[in-house]
Amino acid sequence: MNETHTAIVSAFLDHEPVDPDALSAALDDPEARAALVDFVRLRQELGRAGDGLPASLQTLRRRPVARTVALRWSAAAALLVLMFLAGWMAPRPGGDARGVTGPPDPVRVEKFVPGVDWSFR
Amino acid sequence: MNRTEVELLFATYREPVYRFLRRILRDGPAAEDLTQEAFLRALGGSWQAGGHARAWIFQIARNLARDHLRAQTRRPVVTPLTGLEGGAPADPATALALDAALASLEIDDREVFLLKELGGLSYAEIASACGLTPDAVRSRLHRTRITLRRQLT
Repeated sequence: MNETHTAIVSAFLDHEPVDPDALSAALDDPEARAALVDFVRLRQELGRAGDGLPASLQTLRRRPVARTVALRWSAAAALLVLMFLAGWMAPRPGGDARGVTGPPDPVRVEKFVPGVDWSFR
Repeated sequence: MNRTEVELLFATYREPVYRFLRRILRDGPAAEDLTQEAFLRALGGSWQAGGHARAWIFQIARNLARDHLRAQTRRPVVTPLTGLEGGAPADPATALALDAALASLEIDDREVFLLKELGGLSYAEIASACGLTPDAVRSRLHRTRITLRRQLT
């Protein structure tokens, strides 16, 4: 089989530009003619499979169709909420679980008076 | 690309995109989902693949199919009994043989072949969608046809 001839009929079948003289030579080759017929038959068989358009493709959906994507986003959102709640509930230094922060109120005030001896005996 | 433009693209190319995906995936429901997904991904996107809208949408579909098949290798594959459910082939034996022959091809060859036969893309468009040169598409198509011919006769 002359591969150049079958390559030319293959390109011709695809409506791609081919050299007319080369095509003429290819079509003179019985093998290339038989290949062309088989290529056409192959195309016909593929078209005959009848993959009709399903009802789900009548309109373009408005939301992402991949359920896994939605599930992933939901899981990520739930994780964020849990992390936020855990952070909010966790006890903090200097505060309590209800979110009260800052130092405690003073219970005694010491006044500095110059000249006072601060050493205790 | 806005919704109106994508809907126009959807109306024009949904059928060949679906047929392409069905053949590549051998899974009708997955092909339906990925067809919708391909067009939804075009929303807000800008044309690539050499500026051909058709090549661009098939490029998206091809990438989705590759991702799907990659994920599929980690799960058991359920192949329909006929491999062509929903269709009405004239000769089921021929359809099965064709399906098996297509499945035996390398994924790159199968994609190029189906983009031509079912998508109707030109060599330049296939080259843009698959990152090949038009000459590579030409020789790949020829080689694939010869392989399929040998297997089916």
